[in-house]
Amino acid sequence: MAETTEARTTADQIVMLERNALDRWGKGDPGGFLDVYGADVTYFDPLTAMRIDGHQAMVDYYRPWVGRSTSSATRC
Amino acid sequence: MGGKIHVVRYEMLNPYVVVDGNMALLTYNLVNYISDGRGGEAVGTRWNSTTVYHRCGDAWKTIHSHWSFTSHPAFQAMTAEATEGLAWVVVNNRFGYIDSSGRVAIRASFDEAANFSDGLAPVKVEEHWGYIAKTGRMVIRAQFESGYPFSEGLARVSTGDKFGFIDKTGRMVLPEQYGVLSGDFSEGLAGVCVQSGCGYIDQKGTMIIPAQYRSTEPFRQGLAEVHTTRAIGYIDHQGKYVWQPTQ
Repeated sequence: MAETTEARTTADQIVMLERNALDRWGKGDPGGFLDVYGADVTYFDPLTAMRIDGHQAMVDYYRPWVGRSTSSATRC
Repeated sequence: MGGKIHVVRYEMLNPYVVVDGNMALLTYNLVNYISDGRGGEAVGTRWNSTTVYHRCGDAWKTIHSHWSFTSHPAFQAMTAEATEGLAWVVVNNRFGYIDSSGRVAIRASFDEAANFSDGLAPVKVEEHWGYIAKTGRMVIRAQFESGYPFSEGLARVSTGDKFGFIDKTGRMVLPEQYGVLSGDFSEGLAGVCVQSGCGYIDQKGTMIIPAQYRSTEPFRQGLAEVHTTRAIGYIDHQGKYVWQPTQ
C-alpha cells in the first residue's frame, strides 16, 4: 500500500507540474516547461522535421513564439 | 515574455501517469480554447501529449516530450507532417497554413497547396500552380499545370506533357523535356525519364547515370532504388549496382 500511495503522490506531483507549465504557456510564458525540462531533454513537435535535442535548443525553439525567454537547466 | 500565444483556457483530458522507480510516463489529450475575436472563445488545437519524467534528486524532470495534433474542428483536412514551421490546412475547401500555435499564418485562399521547402510552397490558383513565400506573397507567378515542392534549390514543374526544373526566381533552368515518372533532386541528382528510359541528371541537366531504367526512386543515403522491366535493384551515385536487380 505504501508503494501505491507513493505512486499516487508522484502522479499528482507530475500532473501538477504539467498543469503549471500549461497555465504559463497559455499566457505566452514557456518558463513552466523550460523549468521542468532536463538538460538533455528530447522533443518531438509536429511542426519540426527533426527531433529537438537539449534544453538550450528548446529555449531557442520557443523564442519566436513567445519572445525573450531565459532559462537554464541543471544536470541531474 | 513576448506573449504571442494566448490560450483562454484548456482541458487536460484523461491524464494518466505510470510510475516505475525513477521513471514516470505522463500521457493526456489537450484541448486549447482561444479567443473567437468577439469576446467569446473557440476551440483551438487538439493535441496528444506524451512526456517521460525522470527523478532527479527531489525533483522530476522531463527527459522526453512528444506532441502531435489530433484533429482541429476548424479544419477539414491538414497535412500529416508540417515543414519549416508551417502546416497546410483546408478551410471551406480552400488551402491555407497554420503555425505551431495553431494560428492561421497564411489565409486559406488557394485551390490546392503543398508543404514548404527551401522557404517556398507550391500553391494552385485558378487552375495554375505558383509558389508563395512564408509571408503568403506569391513570389513565382501561378503559370504551371503542375508544380512540386523545391528540393535542393530546384522545383519540378510542367506547362504541358513534359517536366522541367525552375530555380527560386522562377527561371526555367532545365527545360521541359522529362516524362511524368521523373522525380525531384536529392543528393545532387534527380531521376528523370526520357525516350530511352529513366536515368539520373545533375543540376546542370547532364545525364550522369544513363537512362536505362523503367523508373527510378530518389537517392537516400547514397543509394537509389531502380526498376527494370521485371526487377528492382539498388545503385550508388556512380550507377553501379550494389544490389543486383532481383525479381
